[in-house]
Amino acid sequence: MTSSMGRRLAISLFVSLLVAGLLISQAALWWLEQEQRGQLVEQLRTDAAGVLAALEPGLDGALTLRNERLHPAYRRPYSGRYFIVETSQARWRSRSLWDAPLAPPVAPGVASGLLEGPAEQLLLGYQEQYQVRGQSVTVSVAQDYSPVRQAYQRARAAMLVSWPLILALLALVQQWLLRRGLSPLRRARAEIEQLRQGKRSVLTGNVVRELQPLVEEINRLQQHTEQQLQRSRHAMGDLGHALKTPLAVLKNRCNPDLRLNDPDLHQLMHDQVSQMEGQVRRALSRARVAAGATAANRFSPEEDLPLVIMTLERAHDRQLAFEIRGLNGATLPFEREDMLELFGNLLDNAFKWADSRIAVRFELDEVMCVAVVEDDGPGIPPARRDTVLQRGERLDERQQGYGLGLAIAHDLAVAYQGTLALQDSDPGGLAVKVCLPLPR
Amino acid sequence: MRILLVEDSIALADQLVPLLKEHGYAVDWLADGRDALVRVHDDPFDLVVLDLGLPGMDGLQVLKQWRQEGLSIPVLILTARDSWSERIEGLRQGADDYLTKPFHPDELLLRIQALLRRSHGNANDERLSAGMLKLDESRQTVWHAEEEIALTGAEFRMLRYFMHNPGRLLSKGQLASHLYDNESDRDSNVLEVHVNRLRRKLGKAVIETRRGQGYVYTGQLS
Repeated sequence: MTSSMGRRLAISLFVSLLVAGLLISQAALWWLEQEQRGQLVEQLRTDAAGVLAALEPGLDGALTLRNERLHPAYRRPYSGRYFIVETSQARWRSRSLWDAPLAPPVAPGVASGLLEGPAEQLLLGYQEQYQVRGQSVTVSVAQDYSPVRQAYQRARAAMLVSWPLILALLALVQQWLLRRGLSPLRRARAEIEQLRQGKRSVLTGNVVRELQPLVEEINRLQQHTEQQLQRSRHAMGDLGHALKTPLAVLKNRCNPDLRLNDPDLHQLMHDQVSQMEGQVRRALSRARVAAGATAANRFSPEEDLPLVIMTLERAHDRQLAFEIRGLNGATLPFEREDMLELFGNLLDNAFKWADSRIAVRFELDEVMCVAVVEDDGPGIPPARRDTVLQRGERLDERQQGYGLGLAIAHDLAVAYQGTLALQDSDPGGLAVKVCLPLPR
Repeated sequence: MRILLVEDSIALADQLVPLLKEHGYAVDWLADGRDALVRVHDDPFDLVVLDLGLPGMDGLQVLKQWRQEGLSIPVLILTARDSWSERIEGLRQGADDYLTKPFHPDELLLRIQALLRRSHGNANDERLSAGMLKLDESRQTVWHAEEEIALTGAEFRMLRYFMHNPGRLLSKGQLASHLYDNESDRDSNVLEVHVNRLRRKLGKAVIETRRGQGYVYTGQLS
C-alpha cells in the first residue's frame, strides 16, 4: 500500500499527542499529590504542636496528657488521626489507635514512605522533638493518607483511559476533515485524467484557492506541450519541404539520358536518392505522430476514409469497390492526423495491389479498437512479412514505396501502443490487422 | 495543351519546363503565388501544376480563391507536403490530383494525361481515343485500327488538342493559345501548315475547315 499523507500525519500526531498527553497528565497529578502531601505535612506539624499543648506537668513534675485538650478525632477509634507521645518516663497513644500497633517514625521530621496503620490505613507520619521542663518529649503524629492516594490513583487511571479515547475520537475527526480538505485534489486529479484521455482540453479553474496556482500551471504546461508539438511539426514540415524539392530535382536528373551516358552514376544516384527519400518520409511521419498527447481531433473513419479513397482513386487512376463495416457512426479517440496517416498508407498499399475491391472492418470493445484493411490482390508470402514491416523493404520497384507505407503504418500503430500484423484475407489477398488500445 | 506551372524552385522548374515541352505541352512558368492568382485568367490554360509552399501566397490559398471565383480549370498539386491530412485538405480546397515530391517524371506525365482526359470527360484508357483514332501519348503516335502512324512534335500537339475537343469548333486563335506559350511565335500560317500535314497523313475528313470560323475535329477517316 502506498503511504497516505493523511494517514501518516494522523498516526504521528496521534502517537506524539498520546505520549505527551500521558506524560504531562501523570506529571501534573504527581505534582498535585506532592503539593497536597506538603499541605498535610503542615497540618501534621500543627497537630504535633496541638498534642504537645495537651501535655501538662503534674505536681510531682511528671507530665500528664490532658485528653480533653486533644482534638476529638484522636478519641474516635480508627478516625485516621493518631499520635504517640514518648518521654523518658511515659508513653501515650491516642485512643483512636485502639489496640492496633503503630511503629512511629524512627527519626524526627516527615517519615520516609507511608506507615502501616490500623484497618489497612496507610499513614503519613511526622515526628517532632521538644524539650519540656528539661525533659525530652517525642511527639509522633500520623494521618490516614489512603483516601488521597486512592483519589489520585483513580485520577491517574481515568486519565490513562480517557486520553487515548479522546485522541482516537480526535483522530477520526481529523481524518474526516482531511478527506474533506483533500477532495479538491481528487477532483483535480480526475480532471487531469480526463485531460490525458483527451476528454477535455483545459482544467476548470473551479477549485480551492490553494490549488488554483497548480491548476493554472498544469493548464499552461498543457498549452506549452501543444505549442511545442505544433512547432516541431511545422519545423519538420519545413525541413521536409526544404529537402524534398532538391530530391525531386535529383530524381528528375536521374533520367534515361543519364543512364545512357553513365550507367554507374545513374545507378548510384538512383539508389541514394531513393534511400534519402525513404528516410525523409519515415522520419517525417515519425515526427508527426501525436500519440500520447491529447487527441484534439477525433478520428471519424466513415467521414474521413472516403476522402482518402477519393484521393487514391485519382492518384492511381482507377476505381475500386470500397466498404467500411462495424462502426455505425462511432468516432475513435485517436488523433485524426495520425489515423489518416495510418489508414492512408494501408489503403494506398491496398489500392496498389487490389484487383477490384478493398474493405475496412472495425471491431470495437471496451479496451481495444481492431481494424482490418483487406484487399483481393496477390498478398505477401508469410516468409516475407516480417522484413516488410521492419525495414520498409520495397517488394516491387515499380510500385513505389510499397513496403515503406506498411512500415510507416507499423510505426504509427506502435506509437499508439498497438500492433500491426499481416495476414491472409478471405479473397486471398493481404489483410492488415491493426489493434489499437483505447485510452483508459 | 497549355499548362501553367507554378513552382518556386528554379532548379526543379528548369527540369520540368523542358520535360513538359518535350511531351508536347505549351508551358508557362511562374514562381510567385500572387502572380499565379491573376495570370490564370489571362490565358486559356488547360491545366495548372501548383506547388503549395510558394512565396507571396500559399498554393492552397491561391487554389481556394480560384475555386471561389468559379474557375474550374484542372489543378494538380505538386508538393513536398505528403501527410494524408494535407492531401485531403488539398482535395477539399478543390485540387483534382495531388502528387508529392520527390516524384518520378513519368508519374507526373501520367497524372497530367489522366487529369486532362478526365477534365474533357474521356474514358480512362491507356490511349486517348476520339473518333476512329487512338493517340498514344507516351510514344507520340496515333493508331488507326492496327496501324501506328508516326507524328512530328507539332502534329502531335495539335492532334492531341483536337482529340481532347472532338466535334467542337476551334478558332485559330483558340488553337494558338492552347498550343503555344507566350514565348512562342504565333503565326496563323504555321497552324494551317500543321492542319494540312495532319490531313495528308490521316485523310482529308479528319479535320473539317469552317471558313472564317476555324476547324472541327471529326475523327472520320475518309
